[in-house]
Amino acid sequence: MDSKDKIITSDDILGKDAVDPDGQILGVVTKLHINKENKQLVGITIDEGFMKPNLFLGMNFVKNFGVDSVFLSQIPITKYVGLKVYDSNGKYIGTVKKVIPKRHKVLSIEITHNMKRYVVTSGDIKEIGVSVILKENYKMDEL
Amino acid sequence: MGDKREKIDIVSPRETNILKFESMKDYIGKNVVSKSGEHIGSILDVLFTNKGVHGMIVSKGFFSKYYVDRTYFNTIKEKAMLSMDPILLLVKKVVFDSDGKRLGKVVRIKRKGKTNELEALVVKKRFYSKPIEIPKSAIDVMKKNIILNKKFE
Repeated sequence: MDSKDKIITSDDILGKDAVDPDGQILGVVTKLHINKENKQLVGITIDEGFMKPNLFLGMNFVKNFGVDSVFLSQIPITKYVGLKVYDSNGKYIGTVKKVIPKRHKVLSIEITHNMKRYVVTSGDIKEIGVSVILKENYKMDEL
Repeated sequence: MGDKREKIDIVSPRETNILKFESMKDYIGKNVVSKSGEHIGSILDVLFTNKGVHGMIVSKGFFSKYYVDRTYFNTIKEKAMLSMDPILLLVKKVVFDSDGKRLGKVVRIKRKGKTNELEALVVKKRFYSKPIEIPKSAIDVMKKNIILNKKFE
């Protein structure tokens, strides 16, 4: 690849869809953040849509700048907040209130239900997708 | 369900306890959830022979109905939990190639017979544009949307 082809402009990034590793479109890239001292790109801001706060992602979250989209290398854990949590039988357990991360991975999740707060560790989570599904013999501690 | 059945008189040469049986009422209307936790519809009908239940007809919306084999159900309690993500749900999902190029949306799925095994996706960018057939081997991620492992011109 010619070095000229490796250079892109802000026009090639701004307005593009930010796509996470699951293929979900998180929003549109609205800002580029540049360190004015070393002149390097440090991150991007994603507009997640109406009534949702903008999301800043550092460059370690960006996998590559594509033709029509920006691919992310990791799923931002804030994406899990608000997901519904079910047990393996489909019983509603609560909603994800907070995610406790460890090295960009989910260590545990805080669930709220009927004004009570519970914590479930990642070992008891079977699946995180459209909602969170817990394993059969999961443990849930009240906070 | 069980407590209502306690009061029912039994007329049978074999059975003295009918509480051990499952009722069709326990199935019909139950919400169906895919492996990834997506609500994919509700049970409209249960199909069975004298050997037992073979599968359910799942209804999503007014027009979309499909038959799901009993073997694909993990549990049917509060909700009917599936052990897989039905590939029929890939229709209308967005397809990106490895270079981030938006190729279009899935318009049709080619699968092995009537199983849940994918053979290829047919993708179109616009209604009048030429469809692109993408083999299963070219797919990298197939979750919320589809990301391919190679570039498409």
